[in-house]
Amino acid sequence: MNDFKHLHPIISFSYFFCVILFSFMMKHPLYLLVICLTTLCLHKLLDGGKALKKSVFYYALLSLFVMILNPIFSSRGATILGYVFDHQVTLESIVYGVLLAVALFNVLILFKAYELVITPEKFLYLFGTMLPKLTFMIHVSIRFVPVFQRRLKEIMDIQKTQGAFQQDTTRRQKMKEGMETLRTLITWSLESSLQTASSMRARGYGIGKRSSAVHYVMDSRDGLVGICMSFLLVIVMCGYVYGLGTYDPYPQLQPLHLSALFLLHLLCFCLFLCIPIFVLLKERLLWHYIRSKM
Amino acid sequence: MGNVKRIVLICCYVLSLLLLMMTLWMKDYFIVASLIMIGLAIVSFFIRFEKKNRKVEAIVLIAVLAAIAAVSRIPFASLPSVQPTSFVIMMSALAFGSEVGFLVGCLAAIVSNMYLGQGPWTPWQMFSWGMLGFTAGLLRYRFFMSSLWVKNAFGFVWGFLYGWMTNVYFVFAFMGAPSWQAYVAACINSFAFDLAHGLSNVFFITIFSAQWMKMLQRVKRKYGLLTESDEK
Amino acid sequence: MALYQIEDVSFTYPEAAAPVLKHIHVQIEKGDFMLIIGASGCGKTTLLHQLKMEVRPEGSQTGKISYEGEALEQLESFRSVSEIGIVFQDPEQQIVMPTVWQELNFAMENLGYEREDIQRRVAEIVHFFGMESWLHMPIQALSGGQKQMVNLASVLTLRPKVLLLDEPTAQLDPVASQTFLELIARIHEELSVTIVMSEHRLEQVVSFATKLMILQHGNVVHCDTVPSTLAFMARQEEGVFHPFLPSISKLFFAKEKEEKTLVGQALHGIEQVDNRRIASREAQQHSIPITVREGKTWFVSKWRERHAQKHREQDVVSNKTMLANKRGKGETATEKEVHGYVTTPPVMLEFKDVYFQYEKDIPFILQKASFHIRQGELFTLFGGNGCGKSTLLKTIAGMLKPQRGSIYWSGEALHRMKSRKRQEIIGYVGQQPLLYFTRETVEEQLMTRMQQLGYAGALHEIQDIIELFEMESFLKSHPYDISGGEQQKVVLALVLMANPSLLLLDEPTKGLDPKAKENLALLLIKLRARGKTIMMVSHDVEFTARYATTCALLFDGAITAMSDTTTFFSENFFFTTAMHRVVKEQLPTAITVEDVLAQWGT
Repeated sequence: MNDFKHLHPIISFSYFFCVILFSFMMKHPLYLLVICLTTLCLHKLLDGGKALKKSVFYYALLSLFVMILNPIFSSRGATILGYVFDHQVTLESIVYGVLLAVALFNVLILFKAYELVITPEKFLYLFGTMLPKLTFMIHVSIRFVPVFQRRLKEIMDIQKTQGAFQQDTTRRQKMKEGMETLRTLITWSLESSLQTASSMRARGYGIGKRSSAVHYVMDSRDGLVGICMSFLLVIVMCGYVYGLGTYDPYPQLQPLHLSALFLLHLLCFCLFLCIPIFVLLKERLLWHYIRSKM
Repeated sequence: MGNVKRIVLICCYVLSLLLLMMTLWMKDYFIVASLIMIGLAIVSFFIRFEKKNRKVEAIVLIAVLAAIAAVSRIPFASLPSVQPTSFVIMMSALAFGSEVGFLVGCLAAIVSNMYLGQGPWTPWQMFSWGMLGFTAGLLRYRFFMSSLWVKNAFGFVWGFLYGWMTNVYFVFAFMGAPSWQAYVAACINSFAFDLAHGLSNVFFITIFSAQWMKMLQRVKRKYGLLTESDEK
Repeated sequence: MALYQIEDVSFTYPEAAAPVLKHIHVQIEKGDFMLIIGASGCGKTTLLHQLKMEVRPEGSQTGKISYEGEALEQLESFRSVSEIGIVFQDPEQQIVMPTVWQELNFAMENLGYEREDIQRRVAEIVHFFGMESWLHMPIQALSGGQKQMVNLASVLTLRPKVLLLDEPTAQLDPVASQTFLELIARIHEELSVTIVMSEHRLEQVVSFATKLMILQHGNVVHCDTVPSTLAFMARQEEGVFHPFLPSISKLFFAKEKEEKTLVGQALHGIEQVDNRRIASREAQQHSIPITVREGKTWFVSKWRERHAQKHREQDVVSNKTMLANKRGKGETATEKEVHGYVTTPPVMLEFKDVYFQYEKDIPFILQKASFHIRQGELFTLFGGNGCGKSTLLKTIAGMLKPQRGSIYWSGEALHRMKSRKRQEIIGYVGQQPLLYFTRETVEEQLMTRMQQLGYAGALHEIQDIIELFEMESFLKSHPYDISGGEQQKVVLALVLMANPSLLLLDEPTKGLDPKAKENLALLLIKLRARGKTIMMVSHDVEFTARYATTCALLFDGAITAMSDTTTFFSENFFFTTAMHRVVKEQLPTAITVEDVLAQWGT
């Protein structure tokens, strides 16, 4: 069902790379809005918004902080609304603050969607050819994190039976006990990792150039999506060079110019952003179609 | 001859980099400029690591230390402001040297963010923890580093440096023009966190650094890594 | 040509005074299944690690090891990696990659195999092992047995000619280890891979093995076919290799010895007969019973031979009455106790209608579980994997809080007690001794614990404990450098320093060699003599049958079949000792070798 995940990692990675870059570069209210809406839509289609729900509150809070911070520290802009403690508050700085907040929010939710699509495995596949040893090391690290989490729990359980981790102790005592736990873990884990090293060497790690069994084949659909993406990307970038998609509220707030060229550019931008949504929707429709035929 | 060539190459590289930075800076692409800077710093370390041939034990050691640094918050769950990761990175660097220190710091950031959530902060976190490890490793054989006071001061200062460095992403990315007031505001906002971070570093170093060094030295001997890292 | 030719090999670790291996001379033929046994620390692991260059530890080695006629040192590394496979003890630590599939690829990727080749080999292995359903699972979702199978599979992808196995089942439960060993036997039979394996538990493997090697203090004491080595072990004085023998063979040899002395006494001086006896014994070496089926055949024939002449009918009658007597009076329980009680001791721990679940939406793991333990008892709780045995232990220790029900200690509700007081009453020993160690030496560890408990002062205050546990020899060692049995002793000491009245042990015999198990048993007996109550959770049927006073089974969240040890095992059909399965028709109340020998005479 989630077929955006099944696209070639290069395609999906480039998509996120571009969109995150766009949200840094294109601070036009309409563009920001488009990014926000499409990303929310993508979340909905990927996992029903489950992953987003967990952290959206925190993200909104952070964005709000940025929104308030900008007019406090920036007094640029021509339309002065009033003074707070000798500090001039301008309409422009407030608008700019809002734009920044939306941009930040966009980036944060984009990263969340990125995590759903680009699993660590895919990420490491993409960079594995460039930095093979490092990616290998990250793999080993990822492997050990859940092991260590479980061990920490076991150690803390044992320490509890020996009288540690009481509710009523001082902060100092708690820090000491925590460090003791960590020390047990590190001694145990480093000591036993010698066996990991032996087992790696025994199976030939380091005797020659490694090959890779992980392989993502570019199929015709990947090609099609790739061509569409690059075509739209070129248009969007060209427009950007000519100043489309940018908006600067300073020094004075300007109305949004809606020329034909601008609308065309916005349309292309929209299409680019909607690529994963098209892919996902198409699969879904196709699936229903095949089912109904059966 | 080879040396001259290398120097010329490095000069060209640095010059072109400076030019690129200047243009980006002039055009207000601070975020891109700073990302490129950090990216290059990190990647140059990575490439150096890729080129060297290392014992399997060293690779496992770094991976394990990074994983431990990434999970080290768990036993302090009841103390939200305590941040032991820096201490673990610093100890690894003091025991195993600057390169291991940098890698452990960098990897700890990547790995812990794989569980806690990646974001635009990841590169800055990688860089600051990496640099913490790197500097600790560089200074480890200086005579002053053997004194507990200096170690404490180092840990305390890094508590703040870490906070300040990770604040950068926030300011550069979203404050438009790099207004220093905004940066300062972000730093003031995070002051309490940074102070707690620095103080917990001091606490850990004062009470546990000697024990930890002893333990890590034993590991070093067992892993057969003594000669390799003592050359530096 | 032999596969391995080991000539005069000695090995010394750096900074060690004495060599670990001393002048080893062994030959391993192609197609052998060589089993290496010996107490922990005898050099088994070191010897295995000598057989593969990649895992050879630092240290100085003398002598020569050749592999297929070539010196091992000169063997090309590609060949060495792919032809010699090794699986270590700890299932968790050998796995490098986050998922099963990645782990299976790992070895082949290292050797630069082509993608198609990798895919085919993985497909084959997955099929052979039947692990299709967990191929794409993350490693942390697997059980210990599955993890060890992944390790084995990953090694087998390189199609090795010889497999070195270093106590591969020491960390597994009996069911998982049986599965694993059967897999090994299949690999040996169907793929004709030479196997060299070190192992404590002979019972499960000895029937697959073709050769048996005994190591002691770094010397090869004996290395020959299985019957010959078993006979050799039996000939040695009591207590040296005797504990390693499977219980059925133990009975066989004990009976043999008894008969020999009888015959020797009767026919003293008549050389001819004696010679014939020896000859017949040599012949019998080839039919030493090991499995239950073999044991039964042998036992029944012996039984008939013995009881052929006299009171055939009386036997049956007397046995029946004996059984009735024992059940009626419950005297076996007191018989087994070293310090028996005349009156029934008071109930100390009472576990009443306890319910527990880990999360809200998953089923209860304990459901109306109730039992009680009397003072001085050694209570053993059995149960399948993941049935909640350890969970139950943890609810007593206070690590987990039951949702409903209560636990009383001599009438006082444990959950209402202050946690400090509770810790004074209960001592908990977990499965993994390494969880307890944070200090550089055992002595320092003991001192730290003492300070933590608030006894100020010097080491002599705990001299009593050191003596009780016989810890002098390794007081100055690092806790990680001592053997598993010694580590367990230290943990027991650490726990007992708080002077708890109830001791909870979670699988105390896991990974211990038979000698260490006997030492543990002696310790437990001493502790019971001091009035401590002990409860343990175990899979070890043989150990429990010999030393526990009461047993019970945890099934479907509740306690069933709680009774004294003899009744418990003699009424079980599957869940009982190998000895009982052999003799249950003739001697229905005998569950250990000692029982059989004692009852057989009557």
